[in-house]
Amino acid sequence: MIFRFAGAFGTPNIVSGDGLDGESEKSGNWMADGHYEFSAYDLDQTQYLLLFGADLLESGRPLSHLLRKWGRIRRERPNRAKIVMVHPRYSVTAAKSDEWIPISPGTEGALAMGMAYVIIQERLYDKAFIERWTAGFENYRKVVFQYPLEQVSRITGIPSDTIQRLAREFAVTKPAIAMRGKGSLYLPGGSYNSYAIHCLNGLVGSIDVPGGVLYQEKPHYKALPSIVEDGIAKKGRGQPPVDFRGTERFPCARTVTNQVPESILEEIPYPTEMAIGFNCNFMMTAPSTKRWEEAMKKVPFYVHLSPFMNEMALYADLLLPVTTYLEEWGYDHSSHGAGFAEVRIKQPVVKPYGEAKSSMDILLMLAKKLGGSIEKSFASLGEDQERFVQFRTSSLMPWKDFLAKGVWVGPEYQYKKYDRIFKTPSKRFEFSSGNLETLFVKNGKRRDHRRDDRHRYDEVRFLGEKESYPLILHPYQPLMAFEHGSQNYPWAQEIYLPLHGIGWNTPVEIHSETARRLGIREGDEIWVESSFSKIKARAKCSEGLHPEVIAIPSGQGHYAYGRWQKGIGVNPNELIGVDFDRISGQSSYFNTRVKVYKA
Amino acid sequence: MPKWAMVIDLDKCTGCQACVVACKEENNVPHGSPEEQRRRRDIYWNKVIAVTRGRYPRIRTELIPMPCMQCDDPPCVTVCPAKATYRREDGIVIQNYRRCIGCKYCMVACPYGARSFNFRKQDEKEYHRPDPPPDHHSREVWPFPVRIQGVVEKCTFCFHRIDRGIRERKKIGVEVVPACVEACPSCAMAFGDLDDPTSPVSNAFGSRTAFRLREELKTNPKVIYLPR
Repeated sequence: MIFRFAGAFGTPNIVSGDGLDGESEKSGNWMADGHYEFSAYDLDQTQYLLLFGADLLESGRPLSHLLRKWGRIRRERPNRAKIVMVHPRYSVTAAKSDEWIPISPGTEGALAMGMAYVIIQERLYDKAFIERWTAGFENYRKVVFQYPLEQVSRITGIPSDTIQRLAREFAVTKPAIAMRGKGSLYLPGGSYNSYAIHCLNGLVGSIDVPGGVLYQEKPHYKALPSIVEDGIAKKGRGQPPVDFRGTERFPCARTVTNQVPESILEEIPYPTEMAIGFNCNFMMTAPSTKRWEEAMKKVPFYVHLSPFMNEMALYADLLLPVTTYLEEWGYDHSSHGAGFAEVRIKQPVVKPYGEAKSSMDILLMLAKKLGGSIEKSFASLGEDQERFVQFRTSSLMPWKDFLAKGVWVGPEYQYKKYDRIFKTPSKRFEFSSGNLETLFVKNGKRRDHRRDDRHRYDEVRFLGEKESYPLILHPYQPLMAFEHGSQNYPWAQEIYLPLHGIGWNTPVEIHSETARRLGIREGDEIWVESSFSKIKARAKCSEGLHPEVIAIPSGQGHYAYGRWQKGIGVNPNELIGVDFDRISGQSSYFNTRVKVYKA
Repeated sequence: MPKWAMVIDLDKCTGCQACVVACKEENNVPHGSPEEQRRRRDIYWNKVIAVTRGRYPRIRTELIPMPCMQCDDPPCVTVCPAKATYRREDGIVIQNYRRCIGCKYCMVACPYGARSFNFRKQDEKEYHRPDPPPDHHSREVWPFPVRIQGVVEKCTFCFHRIDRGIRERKKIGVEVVPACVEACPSCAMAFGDLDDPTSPVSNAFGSRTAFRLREELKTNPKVIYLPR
């Protein structure tokens, strides 16, 4: 609906929060198989899960699906799958896995290459799949051989025999899945990491097989009539977007959320006159939060739609209260769930509080008021949110049944659709990305030899000098901060970090040996300082952390959002320097060096 | 007479704490505050605790949901001078707020830390919930609509659900379970009758790996854990 409104109104500037949230996984997939979307996984039947920084039980998505499947994998079938977590921090997911392997921050891509080295050298890969359905394997083999075991072991800090064992287990236990998560994606080279890890799935043939990587089926909603565009809309849509997506700066990005404050402040490519925010709170969730504050101050007219008074709402000239998910109509499908298509509708269970309206109703009313082509674009969609949901889902099943069941489930998932699933130039799974090649050629990039590899591990550009800032900041999202939306629930606040038994606060996790060296004891007040900012919090000495890493949970440090969360804890995003994964426009979170000292 | 028991499978448990929140919602247990947490005065009837062993990189943390263990030989009942806490025939250990004199002997005696003392003033707004969730209206008994200061409270295995289920001839353990069991997204918890050999709890109790916490104290807890 929001996209439609933007289209009819005539703005290319529709910026979603996706740019903070895993775009590099999508671009990695796109390099390998041409799908610019998240992978779905057949967790019901998998035998081996290798998690590269994927905190499935804390910040994984879709969360409830993953929680349910975790139980299923563990003890609801005769053979229990093995789960291995590779991550610098001992997270809840690591605690619940069979094995935790601490890795030097930002080196997951190198580990993937090292594992590929072992798998190829020992000829453990899926020969039939690779011969018939993949392209560029020879080139891949050449690149992989530049990553011998000892070198990878040096980079990642994991002993070579562990890497070897992991690679053998992964290749021999079928079906196995290598999953990516925030830890390996939110880096300046996130797309390459994502690609390297996804290629492991291709190497062992875990593509579109039971227990492997799936391609999520989409439901067929009733098609929307095309947008009615007038001259103004056409002209407006022709302008370059403020987030520079698709330009040379972010060649294959679909949205670059964290670029927006710079664009507003520097008035590039043009000054911003007005903005509407739909239940967003980038001011807290995006790296380097101060810029967002300055940018929001600069926007002459800002309208904010939100069910809660969050930080963005403080900067609003016009604040529209909208309903929560329990008070409105809606329809939804999983972006990457169990493979088969499904749609569920939400129906209001409580009456909206006060004058709150759903965003959908507000858009419909706005379109009506604006008149002209915008009104026409929304004319035949039904006059309110309920009718609109009814209209969209009318192609699936009768409304009466939908109301009773609440969910529509599509046909069973078909495996091994190799002849039609790959959307790459070669129509195969590509170990040497043709899509990326095309993109580089289009943008007139020189064919430099290193780039040509398509597979590489670049040392992460950490911001700050190693001498003065020896540690690496690792912000993470605990389950109780789910998508930064639940800190205004006191029940979530008091059980915020189950691993440490800490609530109502933000501890700074520090490896106990590192803490001892720095003369810091448990519970001391300490400063964490990057070259951009500094915050003060209490130290929590931990054995479950890479010695070079400082971990801080995000989600706290609010200066608005109601009494249960205002003024509680600190926000690690303040410390982070701005950097992007250049291909997908994903903001990087794990790219900042810090130092720690007693307050 | 049935013998109610609970199984918690630590292998399936994801540490999500849905059980903690569900318990608070069901039983109107008040949330704490930063100050109360600092003084360890916040009330939980069910809480996920973490037990960590080992040193980097060989470290292991167990996240354990801790409801009341509903011991068959409960030390809290033995020590209570006012007979405010007692064991029902079906094995559930109950706290009678009217008899409780707030001496906290039972809290000291409980080896599992399952009991909390209510320090809060009764007139605080959070105690009287003006907006109990909609389905509570339709329920016959909602046992704790208001709360009492100065008494000890604890998990009840949601006896109000069980009692009502029995009256309505529902299958306990299948159709009717405690709130925490119902909420568990990974289905790591099960509830049922230990005397019924077909129930999932009997099944788990017979398992080679099943254990109970602090078995050496011979309290005979009826919360059975399956290890990771």
